[in-house]
Amino acid sequence: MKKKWSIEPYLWLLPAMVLFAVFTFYPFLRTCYMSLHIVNTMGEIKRFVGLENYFYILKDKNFIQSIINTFVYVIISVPIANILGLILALLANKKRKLSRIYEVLFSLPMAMSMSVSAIIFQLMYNPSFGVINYITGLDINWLNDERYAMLAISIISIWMSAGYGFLFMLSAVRNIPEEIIESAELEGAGPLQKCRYIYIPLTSSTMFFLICTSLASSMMMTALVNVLTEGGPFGSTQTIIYYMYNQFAVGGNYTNAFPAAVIGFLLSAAVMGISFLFEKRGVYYQ
Amino acid sequence: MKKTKLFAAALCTAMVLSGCQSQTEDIESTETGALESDNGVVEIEFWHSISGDLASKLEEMTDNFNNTIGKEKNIKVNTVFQDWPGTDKLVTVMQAGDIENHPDVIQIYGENMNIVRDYDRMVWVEDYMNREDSTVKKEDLVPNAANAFAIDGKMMGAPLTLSTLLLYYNQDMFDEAGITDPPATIGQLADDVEKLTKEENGEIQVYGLNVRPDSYELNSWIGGQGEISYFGNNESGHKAPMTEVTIGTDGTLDRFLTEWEKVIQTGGLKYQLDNMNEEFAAGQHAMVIMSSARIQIIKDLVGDKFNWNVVALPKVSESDKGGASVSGGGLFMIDKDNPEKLEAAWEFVQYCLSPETQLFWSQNTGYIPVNEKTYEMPEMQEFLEQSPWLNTAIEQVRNSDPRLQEPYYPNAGQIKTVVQEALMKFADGSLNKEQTEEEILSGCEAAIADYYRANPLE
Amino acid sequence: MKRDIKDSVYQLAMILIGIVMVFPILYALSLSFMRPDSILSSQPKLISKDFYFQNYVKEVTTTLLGRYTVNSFIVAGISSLFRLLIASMAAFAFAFFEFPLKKVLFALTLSTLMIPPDVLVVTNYITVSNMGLLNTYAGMCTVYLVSAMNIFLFRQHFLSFSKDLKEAAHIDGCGNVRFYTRILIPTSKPIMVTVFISSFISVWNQYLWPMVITNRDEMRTVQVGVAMLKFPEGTAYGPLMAGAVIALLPTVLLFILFQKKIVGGMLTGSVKG
Repeated sequence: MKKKWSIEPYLWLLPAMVLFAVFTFYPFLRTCYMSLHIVNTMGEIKRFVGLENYFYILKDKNFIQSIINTFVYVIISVPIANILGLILALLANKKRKLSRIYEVLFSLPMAMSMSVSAIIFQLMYNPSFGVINYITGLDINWLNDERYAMLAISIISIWMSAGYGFLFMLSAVRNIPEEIIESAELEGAGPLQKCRYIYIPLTSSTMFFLICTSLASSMMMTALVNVLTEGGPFGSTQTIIYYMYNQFAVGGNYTNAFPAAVIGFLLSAAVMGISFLFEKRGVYYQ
Repeated sequence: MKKTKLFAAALCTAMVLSGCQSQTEDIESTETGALESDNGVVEIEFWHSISGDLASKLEEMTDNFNNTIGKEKNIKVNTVFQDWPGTDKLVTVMQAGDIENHPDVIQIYGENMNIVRDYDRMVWVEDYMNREDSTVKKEDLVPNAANAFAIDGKMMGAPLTLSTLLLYYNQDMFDEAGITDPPATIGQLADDVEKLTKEENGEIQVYGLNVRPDSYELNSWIGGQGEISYFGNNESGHKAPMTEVTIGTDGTLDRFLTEWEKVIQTGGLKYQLDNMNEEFAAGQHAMVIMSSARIQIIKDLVGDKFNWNVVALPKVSESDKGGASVSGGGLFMIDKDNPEKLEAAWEFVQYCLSPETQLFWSQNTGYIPVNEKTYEMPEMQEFLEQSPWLNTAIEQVRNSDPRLQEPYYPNAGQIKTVVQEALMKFADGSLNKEQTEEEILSGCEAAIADYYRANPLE
Repeated sequence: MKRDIKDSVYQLAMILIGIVMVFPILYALSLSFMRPDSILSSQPKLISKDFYFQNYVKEVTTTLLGRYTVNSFIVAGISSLFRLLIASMAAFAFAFFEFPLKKVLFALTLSTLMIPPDVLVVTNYITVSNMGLLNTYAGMCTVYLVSAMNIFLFRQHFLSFSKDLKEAAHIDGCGNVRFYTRILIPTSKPIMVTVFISSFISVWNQYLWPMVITNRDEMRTVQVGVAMLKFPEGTAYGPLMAGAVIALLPTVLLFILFQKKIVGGMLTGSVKG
């Protein structure tokens, strides 16, 4: 095949890149630029300080706490949500009479917005009136106890993402050719073996997509915290981006918000980078 | 083919979009340039962050204006909801230098004053009030309200809503426990909490008191001490920018914490915040401390279930005279280089402050009128007979020093969090009194330093 | 016979799991019909005897919910269509071509997933305002027209196509554009439906940008209607739940309608060479 430098691929990419440039890269570069300055509430640049802002917020124990919280959140919610999606997809794989009903039910959480889900769960989490404590008999003040608040938020996120993951995994699982499964069954493969040697590898590209994107969005999570806990109790639910939001929206402090955004970006990029290393090893493309 | 389908879709949408753009221009000819020439109606924008039930009342009030004075003077007010605190959007247009899309009137709260106080497009409402033809004069306003948005005595913003902190209590529970008079000081409050808390098998069934105090409550307890006290220097930022807190050095914080400790030690204080209104109405707490603005809500939730009443916020010491702080939203006018609109904005502001409008507002919300003349109106008297609880709120405001206001905090959010968390740790026993004081003082200091690092005073 | 029973039991079990999954939604539904005082009582009731429509009435009259819904539909629909087009084109380039800077551009694309949208708002406001698109549907759509997620998803899907197929098409004289339109896209229907649905839902649920870019209540979206019910002095849960139900109804219905297509799955046997 002759390798000819062609302009064609760039043309296919053009609309996407132009949009990214205007609405994402340009504003973000501006953010990076401003993160090197003292910026007041009016957005006016006062003076250049280089990396001083970065050191300043890294010394803030609130910010460090937010980094830790974010990682805790990511480690809890990403694996569980996606594995749950896979399990549900495997369970729902075979088309039966009532399949459509439970397929819709399983994926429905995907249709919910974060703020609406948050409000509903807030009521459910109420220690005295809420159904969660009522049904489980536990006496935990979910959103007000610094030991459990992050867990409470993770549960909401898992609920929402599992529906999304289920949908994608179901497509992936059903796309596996019948012949492969039949021949495996003929050779006496049981459910666990089928999982290990067929289902998981052949859906790995979709799983990779799910994990990668949920890593990215989890690192950036702030919506649930905004609505439910405002970073409390005692900063236990403050995430990196919530810290950033709090700094500029509540405190009017762009000087602290911009470096936080950049650091958040760098950490997410690192996490994504690591997951791409796994792509080479774990993901199987036909 | 799919691609042609997609292209067709794209083309359609492009047409729809351009069509829609002109459609929105038709429906509301609000693109600012074209306005005045449109039948000479001056349209102004009013940004507010009032949500819930009150939003519809605000709409009603605006409609009333549009249909009366608005018709007369060819003014139309458009309300736009901007989510709390309402200043995010303002800051966006301020930074973008987008004059046309600034509001003409905006409702802001005291804690966000720092964002607007130095903005040169803000108009001093007092200048307008001093005009001959002004229908509302400064003297007509309740002094506490007039001061709410003043800097060094001069009013920048006009008060729209007014409320104050009260102690709500379950009268039936009081009778049961043999308490004849509601508490007047925190010390007495502690005694009452002890009597009212009900325990069963080690679990608390009824809390004596539910409140999660933060800087808002603390400010009233500090400010009321002695004749009057301030949270921070320069009259808490009302005279000149606030650069430090004074509650450590003047001993007010210590005095408060000493009394508050008594409440904590009873074990009957619920210091978490879940759903205060509903829990009180369900009889889970004997007393709660919250804004007078909730009187209407509590009235609806409790209904006939039990007798309840309100009383002034318990003082730190018997001899305190300052009273409690008022709180509420203010109306601010913005100069958009358009004299007609500014006049229209002023008309609207006068209307909002008028006795009749304040009456309407008070009857439909939990707020108390800012205009003294409203209190003289017979309809107001009637209304107070139906909602006697408001009298307590009004009395507390009258008995409070007009200088006791919401501080213009630098970094209000952070200070609120610092105070809230410190007091929570005090309540759950993690910090003792001295440590709590230390944490509040150092936290406030750090918050203020953080703010001025990003916003250096010129 | 035995297999039928086993099958039925299995299906019932699945449905039960499904009900557990959607429990929060059912809960909101149930609450939206309750009176204020029933909602918060020490014995939480899951189903109330009254059908208290007041909540819905209140919600619809307090806000311009109907108009908001229309707005949300328009913005979400148009953005999703554009996303389909733009993302599939970009993914086509990433999956089927080799060119210098490919890795760099892909990395840049992914990097957009990690940029917090909140910091971009002010700058984008200025840009869109300078374009004269304030308060317009076009203005609201601008930032939603492309999504790295969608590009990524299409790429994953395209990569699982055999490269031989493209070669074969070439040999048959089929150019890239025709390959794209006549072969790739038609066989990607399930993915396209999925992308459309997930984009639609994602844009439907947006709150901040539509709020910032509009100054007219009539232009706002459904999520704003929900936010307007949260009252700092104490949330009225009944109307709020009613609002939540109204806000989620369209996406849920859309879901149910397209559900078959999404999970239909095309047998890709023919492409596996």
